[in-house]
Amino acid sequence: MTAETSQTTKWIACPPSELSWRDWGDVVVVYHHGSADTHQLTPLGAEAIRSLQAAPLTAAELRDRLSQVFEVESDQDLLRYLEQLMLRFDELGLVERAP
Amino acid sequence: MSDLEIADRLRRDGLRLYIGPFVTRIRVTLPGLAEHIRFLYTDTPLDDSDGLIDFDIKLGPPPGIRRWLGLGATVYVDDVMQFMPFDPAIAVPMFEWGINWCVFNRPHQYLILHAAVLERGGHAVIMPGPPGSGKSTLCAALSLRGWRLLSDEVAMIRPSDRMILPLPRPVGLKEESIEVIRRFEPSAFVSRPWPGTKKGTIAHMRMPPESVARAGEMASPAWIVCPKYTSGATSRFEPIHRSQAMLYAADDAFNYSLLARVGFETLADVVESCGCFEFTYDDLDAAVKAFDELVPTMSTPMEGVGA
Amino acid sequence: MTISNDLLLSALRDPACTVRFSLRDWNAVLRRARIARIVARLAHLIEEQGIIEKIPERVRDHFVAAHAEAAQHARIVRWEVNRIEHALTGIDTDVILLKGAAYVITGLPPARGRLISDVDIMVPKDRIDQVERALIDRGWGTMKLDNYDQRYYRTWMHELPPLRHEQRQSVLDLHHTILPPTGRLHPDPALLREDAIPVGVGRLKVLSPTDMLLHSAAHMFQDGELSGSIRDLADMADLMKVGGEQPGFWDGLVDRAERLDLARPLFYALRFAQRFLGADVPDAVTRQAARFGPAWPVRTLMDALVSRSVLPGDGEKRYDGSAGARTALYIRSHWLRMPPRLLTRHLWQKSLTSWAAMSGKEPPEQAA
Repeated sequence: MTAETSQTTKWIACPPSELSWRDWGDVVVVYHHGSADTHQLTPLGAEAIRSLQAAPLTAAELRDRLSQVFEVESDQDLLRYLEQLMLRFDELGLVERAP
Repeated sequence: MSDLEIADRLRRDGLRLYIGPFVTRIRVTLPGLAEHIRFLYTDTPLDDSDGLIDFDIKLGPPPGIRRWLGLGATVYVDDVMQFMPFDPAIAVPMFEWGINWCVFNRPHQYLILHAAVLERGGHAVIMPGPPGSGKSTLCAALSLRGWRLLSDEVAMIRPSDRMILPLPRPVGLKEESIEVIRRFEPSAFVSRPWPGTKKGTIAHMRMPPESVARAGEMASPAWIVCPKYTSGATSRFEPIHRSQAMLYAADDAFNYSLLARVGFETLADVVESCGCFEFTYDDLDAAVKAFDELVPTMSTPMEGVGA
Repeated sequence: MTISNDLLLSALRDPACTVRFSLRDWNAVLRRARIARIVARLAHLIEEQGIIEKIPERVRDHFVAAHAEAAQHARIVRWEVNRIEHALTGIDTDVILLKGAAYVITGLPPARGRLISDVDIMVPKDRIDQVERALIDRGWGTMKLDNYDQRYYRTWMHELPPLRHEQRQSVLDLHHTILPPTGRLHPDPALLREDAIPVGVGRLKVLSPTDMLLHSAAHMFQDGELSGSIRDLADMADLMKVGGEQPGFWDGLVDRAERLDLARPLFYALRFAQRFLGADVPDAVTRQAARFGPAWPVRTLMDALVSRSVLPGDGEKRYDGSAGARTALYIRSHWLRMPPRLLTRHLWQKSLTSWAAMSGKEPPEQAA
């Protein structure tokens, strides 16, 4: 993919009306109305989208928030993981760059 | 009706069969097929009302020059050629696939999963299964041992109440499973084999009369079971995660994504109301016994992992 | 089958008359509506009359199924348009949506119950390579065509070879103008772009209502296939109706058509939309357009060809008369689009390719 991202890129999720959820414990199933795709997410991925529905965040801000919710270390690995996740979600239409 | 009368009606205005909720008009302009169609659909009620036709199927020679050369046969739906011309020697299986084509592609008022469905005590088991999983063989065996056959091919779910509609049609058997079912139940009505189809040799087992008689009785989904034929395995139910069951069912569905949100909500509800299992088996008698043991506990459906 | 006793045409012209249909009538109407891919459109027309309750329940089941299918098509088009905009971020060009995509995005009446097989967009010719590259970067790929077809598209056509998205399998036609440059008619794409109307806040545009009608006419009467064209004619009747509600639409129509070199297709569109679907065209416009009609032998031939092609055949008639009419129309539309020498070559290649494709093709895979 050619998409570039930077530390200042803020991400925003598609609006709540665009998604239907089923929370099945360690797997969260989400249906995206626009693409009609069904995705299986980890609870972390699901929480990432929910956080970005509330407010646009950079990957670092998202990392800080998620590390609190899931009580994991807020390190470089998590940041890199979330940056990759944002690019993937962007391709799927689940998130986009905030204007 | 005699074979002669049937042949005559097939050639003219067609026979109209009640296949589950659908009136299917069948016309056949090739010779020698009436007895085979009669064999499979002998218990299926006829509609003589001149009412609405849901599926209109015709088996006949292909259009154009091939007709005059006497080359091959094809299936028409609504008078439109649906399959590339084929050898008339496999007309019966192609005809059944013609009806499949309609069921898979038309009634989008229902969610249509690719799965066998059987019922016992009011509870339905949905069995999605890719080719080779033994879905049809297991389905035929269960239908010969007290489970009511709703369909060996589609789980047709009504979105308004998540009930499954029966679609009693012959069970398609492939290759070795033809002999397996003949041996399993010598009194079963299994058609002659038709070699040379794209899927090898095919035969059909006529659906049990009870299945046809109760075609108006819907069933409520209780289990999703993904069968896995494994040579030498003992029969065993292994709970699987709901999301896994949903993936199996959605992946192979005919109109899950067409129905968009309705498809998602309907299937997710069904999955939530079902016990979800993978079922490994080899011996059919043992498999039937294992299924029967599911039932008594089923006044409260068994729960899979993640329930 | 004639125009006056054709039940499907009657239903399209006057949806209220369907309450009198017997189930036997419905069998004929539904079958032909399915062939013409307009079941959901018919359902919409009946619902708009507020008479759906008077339609037999078993017929309504077919409408529910058809609506579901059409809703999927509309959703796919909206999502494809969304993804195209996403892919073209950072490229400085307007994108004009054509045909089905334009109807769906603007919500114009031809969108109702429509089945759409691909998305058509038009960009300026000097941007088309850049746009194609950006799309390829985002997962679209050029469909596998043999060298002949590739050359054919790139040299002689008004669009690039179709692009298919590798994951979504959707097909996108990328145009730089609306008719092939080799044809006799040369609508100037700059004129079309000048009048195009923005939709939403982004770069997306659609043709003006007048140009939409002219494009649809050009498409049906100069270009491409003509089977199932009752749908296209119904589109044009719809566009005439909504266009006619805007001041100045009828006054400027024929002049605009002449300016775009599309007066002849407009003549046919007006003629056949009136004849088959009872479209309401002001007499002055009919008279004005009549100047651009063909001389009588061609007119008589077209009348006969279009009649047979527009009324989808019942039963096996599809394979005699109307199949012949369609072939004649196919040859005719290629004749119009290409110089004669090229025509022979193209048809020759085409028939070889399709024959090879056909004889190699397996019947559709059916689950056993």
